[in-house]
Amino acid sequence: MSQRINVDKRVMVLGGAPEAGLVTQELLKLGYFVHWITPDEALPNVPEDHPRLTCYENCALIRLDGHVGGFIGRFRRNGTELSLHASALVVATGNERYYPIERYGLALSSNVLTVPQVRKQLEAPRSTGAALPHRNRRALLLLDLNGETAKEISAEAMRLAIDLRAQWHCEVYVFYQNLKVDTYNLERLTRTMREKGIVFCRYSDPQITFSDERISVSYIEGTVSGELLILPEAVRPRTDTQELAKVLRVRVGEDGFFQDINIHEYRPGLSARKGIFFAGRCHMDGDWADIQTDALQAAANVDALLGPGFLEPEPIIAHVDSTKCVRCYTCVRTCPHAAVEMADYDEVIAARVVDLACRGCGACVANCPVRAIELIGQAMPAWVQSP
Amino acid sequence: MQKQPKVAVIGGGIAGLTAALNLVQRGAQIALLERESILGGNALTVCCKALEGKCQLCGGCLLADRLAAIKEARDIAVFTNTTVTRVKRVGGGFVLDLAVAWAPDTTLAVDAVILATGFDHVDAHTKGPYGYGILPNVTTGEEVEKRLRQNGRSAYESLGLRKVAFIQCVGSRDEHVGRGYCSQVCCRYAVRLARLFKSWYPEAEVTIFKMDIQTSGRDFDPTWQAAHKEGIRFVAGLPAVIRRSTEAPGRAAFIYDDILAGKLAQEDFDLIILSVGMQPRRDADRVADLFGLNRDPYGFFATNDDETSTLIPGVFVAGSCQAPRSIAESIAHAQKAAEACYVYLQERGS
Repeated sequence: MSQRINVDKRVMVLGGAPEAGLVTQELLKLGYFVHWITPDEALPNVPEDHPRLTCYENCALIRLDGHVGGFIGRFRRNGTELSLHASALVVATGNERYYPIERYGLALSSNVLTVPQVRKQLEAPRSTGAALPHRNRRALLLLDLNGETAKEISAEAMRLAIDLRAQWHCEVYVFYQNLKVDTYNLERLTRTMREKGIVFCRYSDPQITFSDERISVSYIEGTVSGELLILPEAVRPRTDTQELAKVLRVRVGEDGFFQDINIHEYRPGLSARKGIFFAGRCHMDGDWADIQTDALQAAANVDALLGPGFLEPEPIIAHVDSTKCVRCYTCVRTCPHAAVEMADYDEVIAARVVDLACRGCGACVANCPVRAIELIGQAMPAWVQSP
Repeated sequence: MQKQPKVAVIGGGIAGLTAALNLVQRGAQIALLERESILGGNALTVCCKALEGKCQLCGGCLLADRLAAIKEARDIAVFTNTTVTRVKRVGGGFVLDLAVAWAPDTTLAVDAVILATGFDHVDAHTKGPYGYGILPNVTTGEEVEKRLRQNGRSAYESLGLRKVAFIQCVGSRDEHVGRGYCSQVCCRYAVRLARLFKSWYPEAEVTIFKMDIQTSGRDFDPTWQAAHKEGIRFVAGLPAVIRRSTEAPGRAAFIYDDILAGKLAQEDFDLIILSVGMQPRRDADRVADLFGLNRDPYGFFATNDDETSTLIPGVFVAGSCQAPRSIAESIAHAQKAAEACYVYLQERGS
């Protein structure tokens, strides 16, 4: 039953997030041919003139055929279609940031700004004068308002607080419910902030009032008023996640990011479908160090799969008896690994399990109404076979 | 690569196993060195926290299939009861002298080394005022996990628990005991254990005393939200001292400053669980000396900016010996270390 299939070292990286660039660079280092494809306008940090890299911008995946070792992706690019082959696929489309106005209930204005807006003003050249009104003022940074702020965003906000203090000489008050410090260096960062004179205030239910040019935040220990209110953004899945998941035939979790959160089934780094890997913010929440780790481990997982140069089916896989199959599609719908498809068996059309994609879970066997599927490959020990 | 590269993986916990498996799949030969008599490391003490059959994503079960895979892998030599006594740099590689119980004077020549020596739980005795080891009602998260792993639901059934407290940040975020960092795992296990206690003993009142619950991570935020709904109480404020209760004999009591309510309060508890954090292994200095590695101010192995490679070419660091990590994060980090190691081997080999 051991049919080896040779695979070539060709991988598609989908998405234009920064972590996609990391995966691409790592795969190039490992000697892979990479198609780097994004539906967005441009790709970040493209390595220059790499002979094994081809980039495709404005290119959306509309169909994915084949399985591990032989994926065929069909893409639409500027009205024309193109198809690309690859042995494996890494999805690193990233997430989307937005200003959660319904959650915060506060409209942005000239003195209510988001963290990236302030960052932009801070980095603008002095001559533009965009930020002059906020210098030497008191800034109130309001984290965790009506919900938790994601770790990466919270860390960015804290770094902004330090820069505001250093560059604009602002008095900075940080309001928080649960300060995120669960990355190794964040605790030290908060200590540095305190040393620099940034004040931390814990609240549970703040009252925010606006009067003239001033904004006041009241909490249990009193009221602080300042001239500038800074709010962090929030993250959500990209709008095309559902659509892409349908094309890739993988599931989306309750929170809308790729994959159900099921560490036992999918293990960190793997997906429900063999040969498809997720990397970075499209399936996880973490700071940049976590995301880098995730990207590199995706590359390591790709190489562990394709590195040997061949693929073999797992020891136990499902097999369809085409003569019994009634073409009800139950198995096609049930298979969590998208390993069953309809196929032409010369005389009949029936379900077929793709050996390489099958994980041997037996879901199709259990659900087949006519018992046309069985798990095969278990070697019978010699002492069981009676003469 | 022309010949099969040889890599020594030091530490047979979840990180070491993962790194070994990844490298062996890519054609390396591995010597897996473990100090204890069994593989598994700290992940062996983690209990299943499934709530009525629904997984809480703690990752404790991720160890089992890795242990099985190690047994099946052809190119992994497992050395248990083994420590490294001397390291020599020879050519581009390393020669390790091993102290193996069953084979004296063993030496091992390898091309690269992955250190995955893991962590120790913070010793709760270092927080003397919490009365750990003196008061029978004060235990640690580590002990609870071990007891639940051995005895399951019956472990605390006979105690008739009415009030349970978890105390967070014991030996984390605390410069007084030299641990000015967040251990990352204790909020997660405490909230999961609290939900488990609440579902098993619904009449018990479960309270988590915390500084900041670390709600990051896609898998943790829903768990935390659910804990609120199930009636687990969160109090921002940690006790200074835990003593025997004067009002209720057999209980332990403490005074705490409820920051958000702005008042002092005193409460009695049947069981107080100290959520101990992670610290570097007590012999991490010896390992660092052997390989000539630096350690960071808290004693974890210092690395380059990529968090896996070190100042010594060919020595890589995986898992929670570099910084505190959960099981899932250790797996990811070990794969990253394996990746860095493999790229190093490939660049050196060609």
